[in-house]
Amino acid sequence: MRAALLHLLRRLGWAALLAAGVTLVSFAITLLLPGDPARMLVGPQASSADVRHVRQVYALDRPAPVRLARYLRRLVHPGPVERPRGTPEHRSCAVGPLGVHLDLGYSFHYRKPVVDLLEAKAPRSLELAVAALLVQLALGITLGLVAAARRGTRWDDAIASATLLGFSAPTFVIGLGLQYVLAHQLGLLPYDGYGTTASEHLRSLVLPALTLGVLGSALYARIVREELRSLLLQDFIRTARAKGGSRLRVLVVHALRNALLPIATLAALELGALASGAIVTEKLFRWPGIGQMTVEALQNRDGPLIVGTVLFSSSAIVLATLALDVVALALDPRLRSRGR
Amino acid sequence: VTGARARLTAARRRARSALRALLGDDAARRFFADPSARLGLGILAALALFAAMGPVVLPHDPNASDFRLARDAFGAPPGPSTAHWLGTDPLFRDLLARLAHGARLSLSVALSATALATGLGSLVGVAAGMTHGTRLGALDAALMRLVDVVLALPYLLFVTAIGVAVGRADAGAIFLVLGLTGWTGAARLVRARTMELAQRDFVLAARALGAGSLHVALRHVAPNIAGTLLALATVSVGQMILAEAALGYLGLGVQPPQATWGRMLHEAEPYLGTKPLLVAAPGFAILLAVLGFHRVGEGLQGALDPGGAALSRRRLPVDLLIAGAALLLVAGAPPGRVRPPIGAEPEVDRPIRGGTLRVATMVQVRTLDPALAYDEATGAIEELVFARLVTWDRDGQLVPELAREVTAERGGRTYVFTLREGVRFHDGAELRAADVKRSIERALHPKTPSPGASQYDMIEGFADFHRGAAPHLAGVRTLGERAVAIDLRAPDATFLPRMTLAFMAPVCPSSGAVVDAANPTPPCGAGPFRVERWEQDASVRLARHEGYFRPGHPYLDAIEWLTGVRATTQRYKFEDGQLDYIRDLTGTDSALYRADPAWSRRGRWVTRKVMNAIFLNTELAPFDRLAMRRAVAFAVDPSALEKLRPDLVALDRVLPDSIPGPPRDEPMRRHDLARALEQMAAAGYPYDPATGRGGYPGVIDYVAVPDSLEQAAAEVFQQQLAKVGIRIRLKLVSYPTYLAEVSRRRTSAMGWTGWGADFPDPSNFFEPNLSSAAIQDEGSQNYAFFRDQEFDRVLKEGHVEQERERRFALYARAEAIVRDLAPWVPTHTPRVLELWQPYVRGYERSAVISPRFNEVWLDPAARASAAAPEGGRARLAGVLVGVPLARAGAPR
Repeated sequence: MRAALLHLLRRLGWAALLAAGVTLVSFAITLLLPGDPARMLVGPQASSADVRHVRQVYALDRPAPVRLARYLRRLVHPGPVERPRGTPEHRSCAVGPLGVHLDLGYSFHYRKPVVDLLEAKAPRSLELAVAALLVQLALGITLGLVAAARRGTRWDDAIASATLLGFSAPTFVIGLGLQYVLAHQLGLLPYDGYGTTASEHLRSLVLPALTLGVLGSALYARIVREELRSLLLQDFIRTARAKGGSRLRVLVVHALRNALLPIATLAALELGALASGAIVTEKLFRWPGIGQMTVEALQNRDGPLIVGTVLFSSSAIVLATLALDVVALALDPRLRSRGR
Repeated sequence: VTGARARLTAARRRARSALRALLGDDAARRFFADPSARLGLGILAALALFAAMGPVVLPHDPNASDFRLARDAFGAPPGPSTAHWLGTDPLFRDLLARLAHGARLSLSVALSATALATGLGSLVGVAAGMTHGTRLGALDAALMRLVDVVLALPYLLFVTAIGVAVGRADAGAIFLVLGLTGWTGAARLVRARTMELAQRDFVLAARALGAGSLHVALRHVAPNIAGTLLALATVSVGQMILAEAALGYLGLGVQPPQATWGRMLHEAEPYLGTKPLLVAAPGFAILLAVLGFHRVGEGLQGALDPGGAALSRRRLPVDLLIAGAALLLVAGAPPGRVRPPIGAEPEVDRPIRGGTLRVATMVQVRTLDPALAYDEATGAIEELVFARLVTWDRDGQLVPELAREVTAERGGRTYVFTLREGVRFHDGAELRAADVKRSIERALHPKTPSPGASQYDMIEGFADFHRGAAPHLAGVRTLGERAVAIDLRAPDATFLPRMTLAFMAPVCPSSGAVVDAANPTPPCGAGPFRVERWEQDASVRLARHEGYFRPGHPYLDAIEWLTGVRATTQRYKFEDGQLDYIRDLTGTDSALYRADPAWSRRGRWVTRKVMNAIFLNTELAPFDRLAMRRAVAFAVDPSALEKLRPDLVALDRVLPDSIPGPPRDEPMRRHDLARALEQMAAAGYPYDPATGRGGYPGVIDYVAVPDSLEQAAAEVFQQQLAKVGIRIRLKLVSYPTYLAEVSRRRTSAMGWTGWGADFPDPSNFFEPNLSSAAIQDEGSQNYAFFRDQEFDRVLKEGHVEQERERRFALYARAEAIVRDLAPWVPTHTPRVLELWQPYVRGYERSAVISPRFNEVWLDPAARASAAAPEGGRARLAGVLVGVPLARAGAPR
């Protein structure tokens, strides 16, 4: 137990190190990217005198090392335990335990603290990610099970083509197709948006979640089918069948349990990627999540927001893989018995 | 024929022997005994043949537009014909030829990138999985941390950075980027699988028998992960084809006009509703490749692992049938139809108060502060929230608004604005002269990050105030409570038009004396509507300002403005009656509405006050030569663009028709191939179109942004310029990169430029873009770096000239100079189709501000008579029995 805890701590330390590295790298990249943040802020038609003025107001005219030093000095600093909304000094800070402040600065274009934007948008992307993942798992595992059970039949072929059709189609084809049929022709769901009431909100979630679900389920279906193929030949399955277990029961209870680790691996990777924003889907369905904001930040050369979104998405991915390792230990007791 | 057959048999035999060498005799026999695998191999062979031979055999040039063709009634490119078997793409290029050429790049990149990604991933995965929990566990940990690093790298940022670093990417670079970023998933998956396998009895048994790690990895693990890997690789092939297109948008792809399947798909997106074949054709090609690969993979697995190989029954290729059915379903779908207008024709003619107007825009609103906003979409909202001292009437004449009257004194060096009585801000405060002065100083304050402050440098004392050297703007004086005088350094014909911009709109006292961008104040002005609610990334809701100075106005209770809504979604919402007015239709959807008899009377094209042109850098070879610039001007024929798309108007001069100016009876310039060739000869690069010999020896980069319209224009100009011996290469870069490159001295020889009028005056097109004052080494607004004394003099005179006819004569002269010296070749102006439901009344086109909802009212009776929306089940029934309910239902 102590070893496991130590392991977890070490991994967390590594995650923090990685986050710091990513912050530095992305800050450096924002400095090196061609394009002038001040120009992007004032628009293409502003005169060069106005660009110069705005650059000065935002202190973008300082040398890069000075800006980096300023950013880093503010990034993590001690401060009041309660976030004082009134004082301008800490308005852009997120307050952690023991009064540790995380200051990601202000977004140039949103004109808001980056931490506030992340706080507002991250739960929405996370929500969409979880919903999409559930659809993917439900659809993928079911189809994979059927394909495995009916391996080498027409069912298998049909599932192969259906899932591969989903996976090889670009997002807009699936998304716009679903929107056309479910929202426009049938009028069952709202076209887009986030909704204002809880039920509206849930209904709005369906289309983007379904789009991502259909897109992603192919991989689960293929993997489940492959995993079960080799498992079905094994002795314990044969025993279970011989003991009178139905085909379905054997598949689900005995075989699927043993295929959970690869599924969990895929799911964790997918969750990490989805939580950092599904760019196209969010835009199609006007889902106000991290993905759209990330693209916008890059498009606008919105430096603080670029670093903020990048920091968030890499943290999401690292945490997802960390969670996977914990889950893997729980799923497969054999992995625990090994080791030093 | 016999020769071909013999060659085919030989090829088949060679394939067999190659497989036999690879797999061994037994496995190869098993593979070929499996009809499913044979079919898969056949599909892949057919695709390879298509890629190899198609471009040779097919008669059409994949990059040549056929301008003899015409759009169909729905604004989509022509469909299949005897000349073009699959029809053409949106640029009238042969679709089949583009598919064949695209096959080469798409297939080779996708297959090699997949091989790299899964190969690397499985190596890392097996190594990590085998060492997990053993003495070599450190290797596992190190490899997994490496995976963490690659996963945590911001992909989007990373790829953008690579795109910038390598400049123009070729297929090799794309292969590397896709392969080297795509292996992590495979690594983690294979590791999980290996860890599980390592616990299996047969592995333990092998180990007990003394087998080493390498032996176990090769003999026991590898065959068992082969299936997983193949499954992964199969889905990855399709993904890689699509990813290549996505890289193109990040500036790291093969540049147009080169066709790839992924790009063909994306370019077809707007036509999903009107010409689905454009999506279906490349989509089916990708699916075929994936299915072929899948079948071969299955066959290989069965051949290598005889235990599971009891599958080789001959059976119906259901997967191909489904794919074919999907193709037919999509390609054969009739072009979408639009639903008829909602609601009865209006009954009353007197404006009625009440109701909410619902509209939408494609863009997001990032600020509503009039001192900061400088984009078209926000402009329409600010028009309603912030009243100005002076504004434009419907016909484009300057009229007083918050000012009761405006007088010019001292020969146009002082303007006195006398304010209306009883004007109230949204917060209830009364408008006084001091508010006007404060609002102007707020917009021009040294700490305000204003995008337009320098437009007001004609005001006395501007320089000192804007620099922070003076506490107040000396040129703005209050004359009592009700009048403001503004002193100019010199007479200026653009001053009053500039006073109509939102920058100069009076704002509430609560908005403060300076704009703190990090701590915005709620938008508050004196316009007919106040901002009731603003949800970022969702909507802006305006409510009637009860204290508006015009009694009885506005009629509407509220305006609900959805932000960031895609064009197609807007169309659907409009058809459903969730929107009352629409202007963001795609070109092909606009044509769809125009073709519908119920809508054709209602629709109205609005030419935007935007001009697009090709800039030619007059400082950089080869366009430092006048004859070369003139050759481009004569060679380019923008009217070809009008054939391709309905959403633009070809432009033969600098000033669009919507801008008041000199009479435009004669075109500024005509397309003339013979004169273009003459100019080429004069430049010293004679070109013979018959032989294709001669012309300018180098290849010139054309800089533009990956915007659908501008990319299409660039691809057309590329073809037209090639006809006079000017070979250009497209360089599509992201907008910030574009702005940085074209504005740097001696960097870009030619490219796209666009300008939207700040206010309807000719000076606004010439001065910011072509005067020598606009030249800078970095951040130049004069992309052509054009410098001409006579031109500068004409602009200076026009700037101060107050008499209309004399002014216009000067700008006619300026336009003639641009024609003769050709720093710009004007090409087109975009236009939009405006539609509104019958119950929306009082919407009048404004010559300047568009859209302008100030006078709009709603006819509640006409609106209520609209059929109640049909329930989902009724619609489902309608769809199932094939009745387009939307057309049969709703009353006219």
